[in-house]
Amino acid sequence: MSIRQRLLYLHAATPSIRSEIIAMAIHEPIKNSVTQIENSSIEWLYNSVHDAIIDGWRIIHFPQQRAPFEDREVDVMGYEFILEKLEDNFD
Amino acid sequence: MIDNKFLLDDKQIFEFIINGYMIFNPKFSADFNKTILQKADALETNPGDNILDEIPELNNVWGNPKVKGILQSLLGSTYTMNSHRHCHMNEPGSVSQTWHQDGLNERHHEVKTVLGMYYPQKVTNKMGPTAIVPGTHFRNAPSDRLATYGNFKDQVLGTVEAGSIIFLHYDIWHAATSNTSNKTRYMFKFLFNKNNQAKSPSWHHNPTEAVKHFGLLLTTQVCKSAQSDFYKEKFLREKMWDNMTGGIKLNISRDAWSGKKRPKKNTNMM
Repeated sequence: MSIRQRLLYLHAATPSIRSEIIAMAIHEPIKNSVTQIENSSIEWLYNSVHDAIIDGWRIIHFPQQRAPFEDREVDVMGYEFILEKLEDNFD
Repeated sequence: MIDNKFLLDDKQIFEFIINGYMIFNPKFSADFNKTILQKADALETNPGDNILDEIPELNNVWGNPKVKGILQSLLGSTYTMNSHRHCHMNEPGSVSQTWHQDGLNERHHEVKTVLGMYYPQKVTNKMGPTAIVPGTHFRNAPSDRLATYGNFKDQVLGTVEAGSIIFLHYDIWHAATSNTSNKTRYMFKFLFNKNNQAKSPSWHHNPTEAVKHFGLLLTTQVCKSAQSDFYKEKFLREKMWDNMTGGIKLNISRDAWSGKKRPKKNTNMM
């Protein structure tokens, strides 16, 4: 039995943990597991980062709050939070 | 010279500016699509840019008057086909691509290049359809910056009927999804370039209709994002419209509040 790190990338509409999730990717610590764009309906685990925290996920990366200098442009979408959950039921 | 009836109208142009793509089915005959599919299936190697030598019938896809009408509407009458083209073969058992832009993140807000993706067979969700994030053609984001995104709430899948074409702005975020069926999914990608800046609209422009639908640019949100991004997007949409029209002036109001009715007063409180 070994503890492994599950990772959850949540892209929120604002840097607030209570704002709406607009994109999501989960990475399971299992060999040959795949994280990909789904070709069928998607199960949205959480509506906000706060919901994920309630479910036991810990935030390990908070998004940068600084605004871009070129303020008329748009680039990446949303604000990236990376969360982890340490679990031991992968054997 | 393309007949006016094959050109897009103002509302369709607004929708392309907002979404960054449009799906169109020119209604080729079943035999035509089948011939192309069979020739694609018979290819022993991927011919890359030489695909037209192997499957010359593809010339008829891009020579179709309805298809030419759309390309002229988006790129002007002097548009040309780029020498790069590719037959995408999404084989059974594939894993999805990551989100990417085909463009080089040039900072412009024009329709300089259009991708035309022709699908000779019906594409179901299991066959690895092309996924698109609407409205992302305004975003200057190198593809490696998109690598941590998984699924977007507002992504769309290009599940289409045989013979359909998806026209995309060159900078839009897209990806092939996994093919969990037992059939190879084919998509023929061609690029088309604008060669001259517009001096006037290259579509079936009607100022009255344009004024009627202009509000779409200011009110339609196609992909959830930050509110401040949406404000910027509206500005960039107008910039694209101005570029495509050659800067024509429309008699429009941007004041969404003027004349808005107030809620009825509760007379019991008097």
